[in-house]
Amino acid sequence: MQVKEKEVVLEVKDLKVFFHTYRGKVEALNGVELSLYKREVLGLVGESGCGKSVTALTILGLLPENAYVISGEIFFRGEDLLKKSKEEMRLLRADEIAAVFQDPMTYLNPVLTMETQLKEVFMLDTNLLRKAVVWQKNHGGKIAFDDLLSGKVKIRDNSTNPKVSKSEINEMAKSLCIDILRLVKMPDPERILRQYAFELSGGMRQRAMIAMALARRPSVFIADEITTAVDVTIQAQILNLMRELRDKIDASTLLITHDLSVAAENADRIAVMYGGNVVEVAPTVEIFKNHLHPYTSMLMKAIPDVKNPSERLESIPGTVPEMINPPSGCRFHPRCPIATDKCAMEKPQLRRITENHEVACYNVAV
Amino acid sequence: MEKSEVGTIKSEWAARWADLKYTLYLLRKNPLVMAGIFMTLFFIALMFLANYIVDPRLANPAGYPEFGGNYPFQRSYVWSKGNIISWGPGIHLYEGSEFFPLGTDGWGRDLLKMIVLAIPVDMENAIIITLGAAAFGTLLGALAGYVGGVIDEVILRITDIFLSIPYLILALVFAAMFGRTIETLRFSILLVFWPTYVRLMRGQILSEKEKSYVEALKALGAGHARVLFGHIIPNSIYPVLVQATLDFGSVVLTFSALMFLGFSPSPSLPELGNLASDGYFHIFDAPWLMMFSGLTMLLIALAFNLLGDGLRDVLDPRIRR
Amino acid sequence: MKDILVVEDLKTWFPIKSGIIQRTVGYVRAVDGVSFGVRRGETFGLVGESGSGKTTLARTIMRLVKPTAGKIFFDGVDLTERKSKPAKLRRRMQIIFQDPYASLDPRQIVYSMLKETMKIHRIASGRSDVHKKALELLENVGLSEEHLYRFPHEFSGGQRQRIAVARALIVNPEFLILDEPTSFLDVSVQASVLNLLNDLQKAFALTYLFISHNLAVVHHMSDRVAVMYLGKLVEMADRDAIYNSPRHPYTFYLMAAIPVPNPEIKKEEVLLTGDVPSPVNIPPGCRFHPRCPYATGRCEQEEPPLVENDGHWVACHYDIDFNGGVRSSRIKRRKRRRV
Repeated sequence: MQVKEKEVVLEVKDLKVFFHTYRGKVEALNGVELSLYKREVLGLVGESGCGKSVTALTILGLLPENAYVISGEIFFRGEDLLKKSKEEMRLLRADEIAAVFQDPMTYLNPVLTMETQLKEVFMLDTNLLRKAVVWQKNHGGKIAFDDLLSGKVKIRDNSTNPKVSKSEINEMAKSLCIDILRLVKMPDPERILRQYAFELSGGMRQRAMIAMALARRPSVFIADEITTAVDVTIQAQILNLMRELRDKIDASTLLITHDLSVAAENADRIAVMYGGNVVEVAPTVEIFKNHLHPYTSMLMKAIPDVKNPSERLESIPGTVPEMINPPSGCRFHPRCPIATDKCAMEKPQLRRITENHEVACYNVAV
Repeated sequence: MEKSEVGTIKSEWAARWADLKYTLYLLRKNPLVMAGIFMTLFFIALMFLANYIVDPRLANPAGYPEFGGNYPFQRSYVWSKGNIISWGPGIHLYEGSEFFPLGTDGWGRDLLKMIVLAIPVDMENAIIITLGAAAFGTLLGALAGYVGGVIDEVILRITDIFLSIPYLILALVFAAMFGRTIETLRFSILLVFWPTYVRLMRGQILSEKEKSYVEALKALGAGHARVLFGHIIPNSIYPVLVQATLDFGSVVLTFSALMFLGFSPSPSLPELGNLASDGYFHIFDAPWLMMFSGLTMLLIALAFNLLGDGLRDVLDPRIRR
Repeated sequence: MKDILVVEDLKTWFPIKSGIIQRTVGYVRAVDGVSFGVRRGETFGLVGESGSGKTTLARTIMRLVKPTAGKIFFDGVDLTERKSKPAKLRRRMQIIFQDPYASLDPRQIVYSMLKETMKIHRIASGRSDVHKKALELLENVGLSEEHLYRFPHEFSGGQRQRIAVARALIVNPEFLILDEPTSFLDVSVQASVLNLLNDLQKAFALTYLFISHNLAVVHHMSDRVAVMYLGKLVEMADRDAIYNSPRHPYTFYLMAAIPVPNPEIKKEEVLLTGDVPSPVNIPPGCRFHPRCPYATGRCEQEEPPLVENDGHWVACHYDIDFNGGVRSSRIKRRKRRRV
């Protein structure tokens, strides 16, 4: 899938995040560098402990109490998100940057019906609803979420603001809910609205979460391991849904996963993370054909491939580093087959090898 | 903070000690809990040392010269601003040169000394009763939770019966049935407190029972007894510990309530509830009597409560690790 | 007997009770008539999604759950007869569970865990003996002495699984059931655990029943594979036969859903619609018919039996060519072979 515009929507520069715990300082992020372009799907791949979820939480401003951002910047629309207040971040999360996480059961309120929860998202912006009602009254016919999404319908600010009743706003919100459930391919949306979270299956809950995330037409959509907790056939459905929605929504997606295969099928570019750093970034096809960083190469060889079976899987010697006392220099050097002395001393920065392929390693031949 | 001690742990005891250090670290973080711990330690120390600090013979009014005894002790004076109280025929107490920091009680005994002597009695009560109730209730609860079926139903119903009666009335009934010595009173109160533990333990057992490691142990061939006593109960014991610390305070108060209501084994027994009940009738004339003994009871209950709070916070498996 | 484990029409039903007197109003038919045999020395893969009953099947074979009907033969001995002592057989058959974070007692250090198992089975006694054997076991699974005195929470997921394997090996089992052993593990860790399992299989002549929902992993490990859906087997064959030429529609869709780590292979939009069903409400006739695009009226009424054709067992009324969608009824039907 070609990315025509190379406009940067979100840029993370040299992000360092630490956590204070009993055992000491956990250096979770060690200078993460990421760029997310318009309308692309960037796959952020890494194993547990590499810092991919922490990166997402930092972007969203949802880090826990004991986390400290030591340095770095996150640029979105020309502003540094790290300098924003909590309230500003909250508004941003409501409007521009949306996220869906791994386990939908814990993120949905068990005592509210789906209707209440979905409507809540729309009700965050009553102005828009009001304008939509007015538009509908003026133009007749029903306004659909699709139209709002595609921007076909321009809601102009009417100076003569006729009174719009609360129930009309409610009605509009409800019809938009139904639309958005249809968008994520939920069967029988009216019935779903009446149900509670526990009455839905895992796949449906995940769709509901995606619906809630997309309701506000965000520019950035963060999907953090959304298919890890579901069965493989449901995973296929959800990923297919994401692919179909791509054309409709104008968002850039940060697809976080530990499964390289999932990233292979759904991402335009892949960024591989290890030990709190991005170690390689390249377009998907390129990275699979021509992986440069030793970690990426070993990771590729560790995956069992049905089409390409092997007698023995390559595993990476050693274990994932303890972030409390991380290795000096390049964090991968203790396990790296081509490590040199320099690797232990100084952390390699992401270098541009070709136009769209970056690697953080000293020993990579161009 | 220190680095994790990888590789320096060479034995089982070292491992458990490292674990304990983590617990202590967590405890240190909360000032209220530390206060609770110190207070509890203070009271426990008193429990052992009280009889050395204060001569226990002071508690027996019959030893005073006025009652015909021959303790060579000073007679009593009331600490207040010139109040004269008459406690009974033939005895007059009045302000004098002797200083009693907390005043005296009805027999003219130094209140402070009496409180010091009373603390061990109450502490022993608290510990014996709570531990006894906890042990008994825990075992029954474990049995009910693990075995299930009819045994579970029977134990639950009995527990329900006990729990359905307001605890003070229950205590009164038992006290009336079993008599007034300290031992029987302890037994009566124990009977009031054990049902809570049954419920608590049973709940924990029911959830631990389903966990993977229990299945794994069974798959390995471990028998029921080993699984229950060696694994499930140790893993379920924490809420019981917390409840026990909270119950210490309640036990002291319940015992005192019984004293209040007239079940005291002997009117001159130095026991906080006893002292308080003496003071009840003179609350306007000699408020110090009730005040200070009540305050001590409060402090004991508070100490254990804070300890319990701290334990609960610390042992919560979600906060640990 | 060539087969070390034989399962015959095994059923495990859980009663659903309701009302004050707890009447049984229905059953969760988790395992609803499963028959297969595992050959000595092979790795038999069992695939299925949630609700398929594969975990219950594992537990039933290990006798952690009582079977409702059917038979289990281990090395010719009927396990379902009450007379047989499961304790003795426990030594020959062990299980590794899915969640490494829950399958070890959090309050026990590794040394105690191993010592306890040895005590239960009266293997090794005396401090130095136990210590020696413990070290040996840890080395077999790639751990070392420094790990002996640590608590489970100090280990990573992969290491915990190794400890579980070490513990299971104490009793020198012949048969190991692996219930999703690597599902909770990272890719690189998974690779090393799978390699370890393969090495151990060669070293100790073990037979594995490998259960997983991860088709790529099952493909890597197994010699033969069976697919489970809603409590029954829908297909069973040699590994390559199942992966390259599946005959049951469910298998076909499962294979199609596996994400492939190769971006150049274009994925066709082959999607299974609908949700994974629950074993409380089992559809009549063929269990798969509500989701099957090839279903006919016959499928709604008649449950297809598991029928063998050249070593390849399928439970479907039709022979479907998945490329063309052509259906043809089975011409001959052989009686289900008893193993």
